[in-house]
Amino acid sequence: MTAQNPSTISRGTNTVNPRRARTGAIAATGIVSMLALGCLVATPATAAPVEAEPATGVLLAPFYTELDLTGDDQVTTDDLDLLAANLGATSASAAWASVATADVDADGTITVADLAALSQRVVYDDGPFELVEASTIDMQAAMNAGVTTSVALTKAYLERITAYDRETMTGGSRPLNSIITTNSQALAIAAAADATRASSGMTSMLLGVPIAVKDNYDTIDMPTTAGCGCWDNNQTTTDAFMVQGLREAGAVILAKASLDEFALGFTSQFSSYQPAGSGLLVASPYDTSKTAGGSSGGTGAAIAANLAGIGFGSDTGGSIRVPSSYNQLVGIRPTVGLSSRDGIVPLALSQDTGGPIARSVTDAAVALDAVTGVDAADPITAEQTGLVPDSYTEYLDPEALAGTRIGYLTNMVPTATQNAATYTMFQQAVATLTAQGATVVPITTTALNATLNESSGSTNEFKHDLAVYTDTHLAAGVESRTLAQIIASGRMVPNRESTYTGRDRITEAQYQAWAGPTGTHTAAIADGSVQATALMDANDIDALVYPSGVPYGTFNTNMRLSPNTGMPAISVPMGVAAGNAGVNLEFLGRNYEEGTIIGLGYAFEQTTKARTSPALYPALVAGP
Amino acid sequence: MHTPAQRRPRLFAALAASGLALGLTLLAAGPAAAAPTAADVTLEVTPAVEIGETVDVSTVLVGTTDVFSYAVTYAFDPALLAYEADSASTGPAGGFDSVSTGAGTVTVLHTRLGTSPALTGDLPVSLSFDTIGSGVAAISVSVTLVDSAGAVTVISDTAPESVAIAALPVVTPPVVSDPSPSTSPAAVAPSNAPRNPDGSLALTGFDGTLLLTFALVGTAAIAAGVIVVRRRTAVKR
Repeated sequence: MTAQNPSTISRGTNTVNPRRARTGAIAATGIVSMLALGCLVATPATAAPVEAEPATGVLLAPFYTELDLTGDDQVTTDDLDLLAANLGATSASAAWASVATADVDADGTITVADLAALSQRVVYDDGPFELVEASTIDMQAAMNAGVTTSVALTKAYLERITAYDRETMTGGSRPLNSIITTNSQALAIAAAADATRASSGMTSMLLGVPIAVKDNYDTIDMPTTAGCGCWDNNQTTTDAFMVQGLREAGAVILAKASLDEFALGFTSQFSSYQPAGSGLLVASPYDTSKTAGGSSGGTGAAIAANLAGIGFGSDTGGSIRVPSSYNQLVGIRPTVGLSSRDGIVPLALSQDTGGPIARSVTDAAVALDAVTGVDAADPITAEQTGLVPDSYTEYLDPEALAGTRIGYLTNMVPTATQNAATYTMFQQAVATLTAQGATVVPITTTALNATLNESSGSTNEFKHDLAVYTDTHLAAGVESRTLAQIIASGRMVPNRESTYTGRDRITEAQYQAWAGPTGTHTAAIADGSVQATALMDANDIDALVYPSGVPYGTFNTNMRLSPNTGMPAISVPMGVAAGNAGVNLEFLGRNYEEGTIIGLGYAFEQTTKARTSPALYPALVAGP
Repeated sequence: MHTPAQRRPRLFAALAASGLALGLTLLAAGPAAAAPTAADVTLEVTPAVEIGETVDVSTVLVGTTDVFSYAVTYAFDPALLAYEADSASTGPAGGFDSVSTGAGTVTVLHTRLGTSPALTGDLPVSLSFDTIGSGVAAISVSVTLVDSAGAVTVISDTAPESVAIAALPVVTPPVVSDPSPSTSPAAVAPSNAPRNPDGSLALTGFDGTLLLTFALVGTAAIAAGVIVVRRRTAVKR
C-alpha cells in the first residue's frame, strides 16, 4: 500500500494522556507482557511441566503488576520468596520497605493472607480448563500450569470448526459458514509457541492463542479472498502488517473468517470457493435464521460460537461493531491511524481500520496491543507516535467509570416507540453507568448532524483503493484484477453486479473530489473530528455513548459517528433482547484515547456481564 | 481528562471472631460468609530418641475445605531440637512451598497460584528435627488457613506432643590389667590409650574441643534465631 490521502486528514484537539511511546516496527510486536512462569510451574497430575526462566515485561496492569516486589512488573516466585522470608515482618521491621507493597490487608504485618493474595497475582491455573468461553487469561493460565497447550487449543478449535461451521445444528436452520479457510500450518505454529513457552516462559499474552482473521487480511499461509470467488487463488507473499504483529506476539493464525464480499455490506454473503454466481450467507450462532451482521460477520459468528480464541475484523462504516452487537461480542474500531491497513483489502481508506472482535474487553485490549505500530506503508500511522501506551491492559480497571462524565446525543438513542428493547436496555445502561459513579449527560444538539449524515466512502473510494491493493499485494496469478474483470468473471455473490458496476464508473476526478487532499469527504471527516472533540470538551465528557444498533439491525446513522470522525469506538454487550439478540453499547473516545474507552467499557462489562454463550454450539463431547 | 484510578488493595477485616468448633479454637477473619476449615489437626512426634537421632514430626490437617494457602508453625525448644534442613514435606503439586525457621519455630507454608482451585481434604505435613540436647522437648503446632477470598482461620489449640531425648550412654573404659613390670620406665604410652582420664569423651583421632565448639556455636546461633532456612520446592521439577 502506498501513501494514502487519509494521511492528510487533520484531527481535532488531542488530549491523550501521556504514555510511553512505542517505536517503529517493534511497536507492532505485541508489547504486552511477559510473565515468566517457568519457575512457578509444578507438575499437575496429568500434564507435563512447563519450564522456563523468568522474562520481563508488563502484564495486564494493574492487577498482575501492582503487587510486584522485585521491580520486574510481574509476580513470580522471586516475589513469593521475598515475602515468605519476611512473614511476620511489621512496619517497624528493617525490611518493611521491601515488602510493604504486599501488605494487602494493610494491617502493618506480613501474614499468610498477604502471601495468599500475592500468589493470586500470577497467571496460573491448574484446575480444569474449559475451552468454551475461555479468555486469553484462562488459556495462558492453563498453559502456564501445563493443563493444556497451544497445540491442544488449536486442535480443539479446529475440531469445533469441523463439527459446527458448515453443519446445520439441531434446533438451527442453517450453518454458520463463518470460516473460509483453516490454516494447514496451525498445529506447527502452535507447537512452536509451546516450545517458546518451554524455553522462555509466557513471552506475550497472545503466545499460543488461536486467532481468526477476516479474510481480507493478507496471510502468507492462507489465500486472501476478500470473500470473493474471483480471488480464490490470492495467495499473497506477505502478511498484513497487523498479522505480522500477531505472529510476532506468538499468536496462532488459525483461520480466515468469512465476510460480506469485499466488506461491502452488513449481511455477510460471500462467494469464496463457491460455484460462479452463488454465495453463502453467514448465520448468527444465536439464531441461525438471522445474519451474523457484517461485514465481519464470519469473525463475529466464529468468535461467538467459540471457533477461535480471538478474532479480527475491519470497519469502514460499522463492520466491526455491527457483528459485535449482533453476536454479543466486544469490538474495537481503533482510531484511523492506530493500526496499519497495509495488507488489508480496502473498501474506503478514508474510513477503513482494522481491530479486534473478542468475547471480552480484556481479550480485545490484549489483541489490540499486538497490532498497533507505525508503518511507512500506511503513513497515517505516524500520527500515533507518542500516543500508544505500553499496554492497553493498563486501563482494565473495574472502577474506571467512577468520577467520569459520559455524554449521549439524544437523537442517537431510540425512543420506546422506535425500539422498545433497545430503549429499555439503554435506560438500564444509563442507570448502570450512574451506579458506577459516572455522571451521564444527555446532550441535545445539531452540532454533529452533518457528520452523522455524511455518507460512506465506499462508493467513491472502492475502485481507487482496490487498485492500490491490486498493484501492491494481489497475487500475480489472480486474473480478476479490476472491478470490470471481477464482474466479467461471474465469480461473485448474486445480485452484486450492479453495485460493482456503479463503483467501477467512479472516475479518478470523482475520487479526488471526494477523498483527495481537499476532497469533500476528507474535509467532512476532519470537521467531524473537530466538532465531536469540541462537543466533548464543551461538556467535559470522557466519552459519548449510544447503542451500536437494535436487535439484528442498526439504528439511524449511529455507525457513522466513529468512521466520519476517525475517532475510536468500543462496542460492548449491553443486553440481550428476545431471540437472544444482542445489543451493544458503544463508547466513542477522543483520537488515540483507546485506553480511556477500553477502561470505561471494561468497567461497564464487569458490571453488566451481558454476554451469553450460544447454546447451539456447546462443548464437544470427547470421543471414545 | 479522566485517568483510571489505581486499584486499591483489598481491605480485610482484622482478626475479630473466635469460637469453638469441632473441639478446636478457630479464629476467623475476612469475609463473614465463609472461611477455610479443618475438621481436625493431628500431631505425631517420635516419642523417644537418643541424642543425635532424628525426631520425626507429622501433622495432618484433616478434612479441610477451601484452603488456598496454609502455614503450619511448630514451636520447639531450640536448646534440644534443631530443624533438619530440607526435611519438610511439600504441599500438593502445582503450588509454591516455603520453609522458614526462627528462634524455636519452623513454619511450613504452601500456597496455590493464580486462579487455581483451593484445596480440600486431608493435607499432610511432615518434617524432622535433629536432637542437640537431652531432656524432654515439647513440640506444639499452630495452623493458619487462608481461602481464595482472603478469609483466615487460625487453629492453635492442638495438644502439644513431647519427645524424650536421652543422653548418650557413658562409655566405660575397658579394665586394663597391670602390665608386667617394665624393664624400660621411659617407654611411651600406647597410642590408643584414652587421652581423657575420665573417659567421658572417649574419642580417637579427633579433638573433642572442636566438637564442643561447634555445638556451642550452633546452639548459640539457634538461640539467637540467626539460622534461617528457606526452601522453595513446588516449582521446578
